[in-house]
Amino acid sequence: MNGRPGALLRAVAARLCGADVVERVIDSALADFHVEADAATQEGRPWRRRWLRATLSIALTQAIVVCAWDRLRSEHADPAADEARAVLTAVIATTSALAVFVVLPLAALTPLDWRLVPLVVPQAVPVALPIGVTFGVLAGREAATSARFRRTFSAIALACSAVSFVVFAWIVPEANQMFRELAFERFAQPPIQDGVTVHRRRPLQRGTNELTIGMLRQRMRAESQRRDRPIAAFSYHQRWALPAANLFLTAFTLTVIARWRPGRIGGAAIALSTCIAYWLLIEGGRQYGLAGTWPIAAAAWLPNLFFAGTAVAIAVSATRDRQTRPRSG
Amino acid sequence: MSPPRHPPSLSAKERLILELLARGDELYGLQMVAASKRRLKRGTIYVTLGRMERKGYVRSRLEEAPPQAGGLPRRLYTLTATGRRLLTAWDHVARHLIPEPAR
Repeated sequence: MNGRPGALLRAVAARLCGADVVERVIDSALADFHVEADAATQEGRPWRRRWLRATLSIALTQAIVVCAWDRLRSEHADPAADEARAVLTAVIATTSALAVFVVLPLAALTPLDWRLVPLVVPQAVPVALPIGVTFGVLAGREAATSARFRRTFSAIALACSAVSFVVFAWIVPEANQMFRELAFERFAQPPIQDGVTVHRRRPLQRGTNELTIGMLRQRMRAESQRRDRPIAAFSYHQRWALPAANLFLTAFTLTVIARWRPGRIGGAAIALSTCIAYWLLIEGGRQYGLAGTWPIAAAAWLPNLFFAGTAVAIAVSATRDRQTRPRSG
Repeated sequence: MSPPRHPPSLSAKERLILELLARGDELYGLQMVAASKRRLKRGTIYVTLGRMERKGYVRSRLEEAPPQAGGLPRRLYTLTATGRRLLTAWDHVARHLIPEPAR
């Protein structure tokens, strides 16, 4: 084909679209062109030959674009991964809405002050993301063995961890502080001096939940000199541990579905139990850590360590099973 | 081949190709472009034929390679039984769905 019209585009098509497209689409077009072009040469019509050559280039380029797009779409079509992503999004949205309107202190404020809503949303994010990731991975159980699915969800988990860390380390403390100041303004009676109401804005002192990660580090160092409950230290380590939950829970759920392939209801039950177990471990770690029974960092990372250990144990057991299973044939 | 997950669909171009092939001849891509009076284009006819072959509406065979050095054999297309049934069903549906002009 070298030196013949269309040779370069044929090579491009072979690279982008595959051999089947070259055989059925590109070669068909080239064969028809060659017959027409040879006829034009025999009839002594060089301009028609040039025109045919130009239309061939346009036709082949158009065919390559369409076929490459078709190939891209068919390679990325993955209903199980689509379902997983849909579940992940739905669970994150539902959990955030529940957290904002039912669980968090907003529920206690009636009538609802809508200025407070955006200040509560950041608190919901670090909780909603790992729950969404856990349910999402288990919803995509049919694609569990696919390397692409694992890569996709690992990337999603990494992105969720990064977002969660930024939100938890800096945005949540500032939003909490603003929430407290707005709520305080609402309930506090302004003092009256000489018969005139005085609106005096005094900054509220920040609690542990209102300290950014840098402020927490400073307070943690100050606390280390004292022997009382190391709340700031626990909170500091938890600011790192909770965002990392996205990665640990993804690794755990991917191992679970690769090992047992649960059904739809089984998958949902595992996801729910995982989230509850994680929450119980957070609470357990907090109690043991603040009581001084366990090192603070280990107590804050307890849920992640537990799920990492369990994932490793499941993976080792699966490998042993594969090795000891008698080979058929 | 696994059974199709969706009912067969037919675009305007695919229907035109089926109508041209339903006349009974084996046709090349360019012959169809010429016979369609410019309704089919050189740039898309081969892609459309490739898709129709994958769906089982048409089948193709290569004619013998021409004697010129480096010449490629042309691909000839014919209608399959599936394509013929689809065209018949489509015509039937179209006749019953398109309203008759008011008298």
